[in-house]
Amino acid sequence: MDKIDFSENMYDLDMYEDAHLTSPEQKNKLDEMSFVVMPASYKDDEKYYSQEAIDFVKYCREEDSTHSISLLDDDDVVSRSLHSIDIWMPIIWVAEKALLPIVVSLVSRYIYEKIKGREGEKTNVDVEFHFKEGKRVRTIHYKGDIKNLEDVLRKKIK
Amino acid sequence: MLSYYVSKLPDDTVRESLINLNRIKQCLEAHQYDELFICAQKTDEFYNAAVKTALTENDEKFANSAYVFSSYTSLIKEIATYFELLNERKYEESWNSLQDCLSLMRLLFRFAIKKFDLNDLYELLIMYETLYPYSLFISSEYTIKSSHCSICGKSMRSVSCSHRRGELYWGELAVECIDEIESLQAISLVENPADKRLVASVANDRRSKEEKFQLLEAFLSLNIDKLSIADFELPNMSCETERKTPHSEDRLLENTSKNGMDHRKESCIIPIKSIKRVQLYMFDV
Repeated sequence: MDKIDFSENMYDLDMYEDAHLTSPEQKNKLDEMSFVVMPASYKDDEKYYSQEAIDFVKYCREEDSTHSISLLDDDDVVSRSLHSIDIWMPIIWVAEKALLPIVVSLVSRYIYEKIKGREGEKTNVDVEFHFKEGKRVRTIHYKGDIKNLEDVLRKKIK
Repeated sequence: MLSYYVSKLPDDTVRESLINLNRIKQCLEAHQYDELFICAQKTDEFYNAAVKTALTENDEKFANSAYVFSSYTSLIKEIATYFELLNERKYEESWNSLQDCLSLMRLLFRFAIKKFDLNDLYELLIMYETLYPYSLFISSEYTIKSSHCSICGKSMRSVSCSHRRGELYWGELAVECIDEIESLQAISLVENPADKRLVASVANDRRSKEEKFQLLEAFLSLNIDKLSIADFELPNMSCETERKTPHSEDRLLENTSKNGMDHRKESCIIPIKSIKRVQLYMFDV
């Protein structure tokens, strides 16, 4: 069995917002959008969008017009490029738990389209979901083989 | 996409481009590379004509299929370039050419549902890839501050550009053109890079070309047709070398120097189990 890194954490909502948001506009996005693509921390004070962040937003807008999606920041964001064969998906804020199966399905379809033509090559994916549970925020991080992604996440989010 | 392109027969451009590709493939089979390269020069002409027709007919799928077909022709041409480099024993250059072939192959696998002869060609290229001494590659990590889209010119760091990298739009592949790198954060050594052209090699490697590429040399010395897929197990030895057993004690003595060190030339044996020649698909026009 291929190694899968899977972790779940819970954060106090206020602390989460302090750590991740820098303006009231960003808070509004979390409140109003179905999904928000967020930057990840690198070292202590640097934050960058992952390699696939912007293309994923465009893909979701093309494929799913019933749910809204946006980048946390306004346009022209800085992204981090990692030139390995692995797929670096962004951190995705999900407005409510009920929407998790939808975003997992979108992520899976996006990735399968992305790796079409290289199916025989072993490729890992890194993706993280954040969502509110009452007054707390739960995070789910998956890093492992692409072929196990949907199964593992579906079991965990039941 | 390739099937869609072919389905546009009896369109004149499609028919002529298919005849041209058939000729290119015949040249590859006969190893007539000069004629092949002349025929391949027409690729852009056919592609431009097909895209023009697609625009007139408002058929984006046809424009995209013309791009895929053009890549298919480029692949056959690139395989010929690769074989020429092997013939010239330019092994380091041949690695880049082989990776160019594989890049085209991945693009074709992504967009072509019907594969024609692509699966066999892929198997052939992967076989050649295993004969190189490269297993560690360089992967860079950096932050992109600004870039633009190869199609619309807008910032690709923005959702105002609707094009996604690596997708086809009206016969054009959307590519992110990086304008400014904010910082280079790391250089990593990886086994599975996005680009295998970035080979990690040891500084001051004093091995000769024959020593470095001995597996490839050994395979080519078998004089098997280059379009043949050979089934073999790579010799299991350190540095991919194996010493030939001397035929006699005399031979052993002959190869031993005055200081008693054994200086027999190292060589490599590749045991071939079976050989299958790639059958190139010829289009019915």
